[in-house]
Amino acid sequence: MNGDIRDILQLEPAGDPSAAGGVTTSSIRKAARASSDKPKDKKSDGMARELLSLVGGAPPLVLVKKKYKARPNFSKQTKAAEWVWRKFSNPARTDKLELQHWVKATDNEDYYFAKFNKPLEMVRYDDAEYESTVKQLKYPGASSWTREETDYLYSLLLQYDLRWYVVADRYAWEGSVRSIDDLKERYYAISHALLTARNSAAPELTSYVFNKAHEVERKKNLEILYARTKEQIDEEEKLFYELKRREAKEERMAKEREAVWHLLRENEHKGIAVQRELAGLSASGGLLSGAHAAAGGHAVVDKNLEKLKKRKIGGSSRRSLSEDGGSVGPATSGANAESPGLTSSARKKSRVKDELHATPEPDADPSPMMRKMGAGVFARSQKIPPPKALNLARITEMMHELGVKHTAKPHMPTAAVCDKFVELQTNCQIILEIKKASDRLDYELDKLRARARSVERDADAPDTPVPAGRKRGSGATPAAGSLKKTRI
Amino acid sequence: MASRHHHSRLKGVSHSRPILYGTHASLLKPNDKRADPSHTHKWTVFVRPVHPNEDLSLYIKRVQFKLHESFDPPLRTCDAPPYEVHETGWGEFDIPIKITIHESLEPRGHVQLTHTLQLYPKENADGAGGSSGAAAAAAAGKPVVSERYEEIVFNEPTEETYRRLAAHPVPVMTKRALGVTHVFTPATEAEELGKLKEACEKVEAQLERDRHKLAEKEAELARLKASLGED
Repeated sequence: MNGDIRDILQLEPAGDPSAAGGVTTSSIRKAARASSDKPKDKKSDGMARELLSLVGGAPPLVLVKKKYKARPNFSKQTKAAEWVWRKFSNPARTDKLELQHWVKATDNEDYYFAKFNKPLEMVRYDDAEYESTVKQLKYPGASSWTREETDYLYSLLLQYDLRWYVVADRYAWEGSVRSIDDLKERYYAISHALLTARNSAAPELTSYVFNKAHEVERKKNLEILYARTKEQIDEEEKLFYELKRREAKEERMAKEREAVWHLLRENEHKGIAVQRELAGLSASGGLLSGAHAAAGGHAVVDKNLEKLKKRKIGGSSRRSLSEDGGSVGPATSGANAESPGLTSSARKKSRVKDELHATPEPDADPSPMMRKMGAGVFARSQKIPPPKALNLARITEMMHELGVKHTAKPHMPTAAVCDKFVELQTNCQIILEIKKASDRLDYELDKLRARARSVERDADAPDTPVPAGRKRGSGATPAAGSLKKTRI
Repeated sequence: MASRHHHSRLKGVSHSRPILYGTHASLLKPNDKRADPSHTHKWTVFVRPVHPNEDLSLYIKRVQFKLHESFDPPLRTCDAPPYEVHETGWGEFDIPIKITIHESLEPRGHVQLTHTLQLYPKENADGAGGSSGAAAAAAAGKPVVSERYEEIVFNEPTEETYRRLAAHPVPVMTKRALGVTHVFTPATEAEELGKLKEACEKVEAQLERDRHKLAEKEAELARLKASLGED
């Protein structure tokens, strides 16, 4: 540590009289430091010196690497394995040639590599079978084969171990040109027929059928794929990704459109409900609706309770209430029942008189907002559902433009105000959603119109040669179009 | 039998009571008593009836104001009207207000509100309170008022609760109501409702137009797709 600081400050190492003479070349300084440090901390491998000094000098056991392998123990020597020069015969050979090789004395196997000589198992036909089965084969090219040529094919196959490419290469029968698929078709058809004739119940037969047409098509396609140029490959890739992108987008748009329609339908229902509500009775006990209330007291309240109970028992819907309540509301109709002689003007008078002690509306039917809430006590403005955070700024802006001063919460959150407020907020939100959907539709429409135009153009001039790799939009799918084109 | 009858909830019924809550603040005069020499304002935080004649203790059991930690004690409880706390201070902060409802009316019923103590007039007194021309008021040494209107809703009350609340109806606010100093009158509500209704109508018209446009576009899209031989 001390040495480091001295090094940084370019001071001579302390207590080293040999360096104190003013010689300041760095090599000497380093050498001097090395010599003075050496006895103090012997470096251990794999550990920084600074870390070592933090640990406290003694390297922890876990960090000590194993440096040496144990020395091989030569003391107890085993005997070397014995090898012998031995004769062997290769069962694959027919000439009985005997060769010799070195093997371990303990190794009693005859010839290790004999097991790799696998003779080919071919389904062969004899004369009778050829007449009865092979001759009856009905596949398209069957009649062009003679017995001799078939024998020749079999001899080649046997010779080259069914290596088709070699066989097809060597195949030279006078007067016939056979492709590899012709040869395969012949061989597999015969095998299939023979096996069927011998054991018609063999279960694997149905699954092993050589389909020449398919094979030819497959190879042609591979050929086409292989023959593509770099540009074609690039374009195809591009088109493929474009297709994927469009498909994904289509799906997304369909989903969003569905969502918007759902929202619209829902809102329509709600709108109807709200209208019904307003026609039936003023929604709740705000100050305004309180002002509407007519004369009365406990009796009215009780009457209304009775009415509510009846309604509950009868299970009649909200609509029926609004019908029987008319535009006056249950409170006033209750009052009417109590004092049928009271004319509307008289009621007005009594209202003026009892202005400060008017009965509140019994709130028989709470606002749509409240109906969703459970039983309990709460502050009304806290139950206003907040709009989506994403749309919040836009909605606030819209409401401002519409001349609504209090955009976060109503200024006077009475039932009627809150309902209107929520309605406004919801509708603003829907407008935003529709706008989004509409923008996307515009984009889609533009694209489709462009395509329709290009289709029309193509229809107008069908004989115009289309530059390779440039024709677009007329194929069923872009990728398929380009494939077709390369095949031509 | 009777008690159960009284405890059954009235489905589809809600009863609401308006309240007013907020703060008043004014500058301390040099000779006024103050807890700390750094204090500059005296202020009041309150929960009051909208109509001066209404008795909130009908349903409010207790109101608790949670002041800033630096006040001792920070939690102030009012078990009877007036539900107010008078203090002096120098800074604005949020005051959580917990209104507890009588157990007999609604078990464990309470409402949690929050109001920001306002000492200094806002440049744009738009959001909170109805203190129009607040800046001018402050200049004239008038108190800074920040008030909010709220309604305590008893949703689906028990029959007993409903009976008790309805027996003491909310007095109707008029201009003639004595001592009303706030702006939350039926006229204000009507004005706001009118504005909202107007806005709603505009928005609905817009919605209808947009919806038609959307439908038209959908139709055209379908038509184009069909003509291009897609599904």
